[in-house]
Amino acid sequence: MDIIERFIAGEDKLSGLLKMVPFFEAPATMASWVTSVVRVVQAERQPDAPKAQTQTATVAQPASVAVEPKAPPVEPKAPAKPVEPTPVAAVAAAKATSASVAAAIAEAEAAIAAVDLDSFIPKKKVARPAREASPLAETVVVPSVVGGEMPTTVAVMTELSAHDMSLPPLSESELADEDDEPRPNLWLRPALISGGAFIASLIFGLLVASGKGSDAQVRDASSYRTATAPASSAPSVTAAPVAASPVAHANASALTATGSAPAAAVEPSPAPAPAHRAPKQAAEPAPTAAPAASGPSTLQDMEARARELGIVAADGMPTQKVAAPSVQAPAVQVAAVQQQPTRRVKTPIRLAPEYTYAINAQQWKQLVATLAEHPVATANGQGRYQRWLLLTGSKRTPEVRALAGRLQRVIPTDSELSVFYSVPEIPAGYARLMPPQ
Amino acid sequence: MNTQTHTPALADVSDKDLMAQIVQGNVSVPAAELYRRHNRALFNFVAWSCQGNSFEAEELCQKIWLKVMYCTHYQSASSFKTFLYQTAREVLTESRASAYDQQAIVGNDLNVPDADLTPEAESELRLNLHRVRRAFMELPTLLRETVALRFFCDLTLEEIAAATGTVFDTAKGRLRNAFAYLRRELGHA
Repeated sequence: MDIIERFIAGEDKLSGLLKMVPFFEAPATMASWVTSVVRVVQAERQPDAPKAQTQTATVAQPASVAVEPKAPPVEPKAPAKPVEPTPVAAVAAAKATSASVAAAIAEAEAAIAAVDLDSFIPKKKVARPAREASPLAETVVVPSVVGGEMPTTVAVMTELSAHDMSLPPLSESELADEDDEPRPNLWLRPALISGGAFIASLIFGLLVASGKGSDAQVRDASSYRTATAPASSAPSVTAAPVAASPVAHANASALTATGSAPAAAVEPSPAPAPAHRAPKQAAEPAPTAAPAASGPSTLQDMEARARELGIVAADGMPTQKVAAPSVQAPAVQVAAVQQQPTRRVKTPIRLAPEYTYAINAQQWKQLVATLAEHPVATANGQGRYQRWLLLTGSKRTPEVRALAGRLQRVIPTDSELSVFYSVPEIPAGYARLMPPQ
Repeated sequence: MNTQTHTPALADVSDKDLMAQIVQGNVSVPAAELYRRHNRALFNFVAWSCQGNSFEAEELCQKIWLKVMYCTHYQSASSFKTFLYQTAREVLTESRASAYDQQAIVGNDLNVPDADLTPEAESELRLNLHRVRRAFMELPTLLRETVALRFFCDLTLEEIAAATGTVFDTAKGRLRNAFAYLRRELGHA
């Protein structure tokens, strides 16, 4: 037997020395602790005792076992705990406390998460359409922000909910295409939507209780804006005049950014949902084709309607385009922006106005599909490193970056897409794609 | 009358049977008996694992015994010692910051002496047991717990392997490394 075997067997001198090392002696308090805690545990597990007795009879148990299940003085469960706060009770209380604390923390975090500051900040900034110095914009938007009356609040909340609900769903792969910057709004959006819908429904309920309906609140909101809108506003905003009138062209971006309140000034009771119409509807002469009776009557309907029409401002600034119950057609807005005299950005790059689109799901899909079908048509200088530019008037939000990510997929592989945000020349909610020069 | 007949019989009951009683809900007497039998070794094991911190060892021992008392599934195939020290290691692991808070294992480059300690060295170490204790305390965690299980808890190599979740050869190798480490530290005596 070698030295290791002897050591393991405890037969060498070293193992003998180890055994001579003084033991750690458990404190005497442990003995008393055990005598008390076993009773508590027994009391807590008392419901198992009958079951144990029945099993004891069947389970193979030596005859010499003299442990009687009923032998220990079983104390009632209720008095055992409060009389003597044993460590068991302390442990249980600690667990319960930690669970309640964890629940409270989770609830607080959820409440904090429900407050989406980023989404609300642009809403306040709607009041300052600085890039579009239009008096029309100011007169329209300011009431919706600073107005403390309930109808205006309802309208704002409705618009906000409609905007959020109409955002195109973003997949994880789309988000993964983007850079690794934090995207705080994505996971907060459901909370915001639910919170906004709840507040809106709450106020709606108050209005109903006071004898007003959804149409009434819209009317109130519109009339409020009507009262604040200047009298020199366009008497009737139709699709054709906006597209043809040079004045309208000049103010196209302003209309786009402000939600075109003149419509509200003319028609006191338009539903907020038909704020943007399909191109076919845009050719209709008057916005009164969508009266309140035929329009969506509930918030859900309005949101659904907005989703169908693709009313999207992916930059989180809904009120710039859908701030007021509007009859402005989106196609008209796009056409207006496309026909807008091209103003150059600081970088001397030839603009491509044909690729100025509103950032919404439908139009962006069309753009992506077009580029996917004709990837070389806009990519001159093949085989060289090319740089595509995407100019957007929106801020750098996860939605915009995700949409840019879709574009990144379809451009040639030897190209790079550079995205510029908050470009002054581009209205908010729009983007202009510039292929390589 | 019953007490007189039960008390000696209780001492004859095996650990497995007592544990079976606990699993079935009869806690007080079996748990007290198991505590009486194994707490000293368990406390030493935990204390050695806690670098001799008796207060921490007491707290951890209470947690271990509470786990034993609340145990509802005990596999009688394994010995109670194995189960007890498995539970102890779980509690120790939970108490540590990381799940594998262990020092670097001593490499295999340690030379294992062929001969036993000389009588002079042994006598000197007997007079200075604090050196042995200190050398033992400085062992890496895994080696220290293996030696503690072997010499302070009287576990066999098979039981050590089962308690530590290893195999027989691993447990034996750890004891070998511990032996080499201790002989190197105490060889100057």
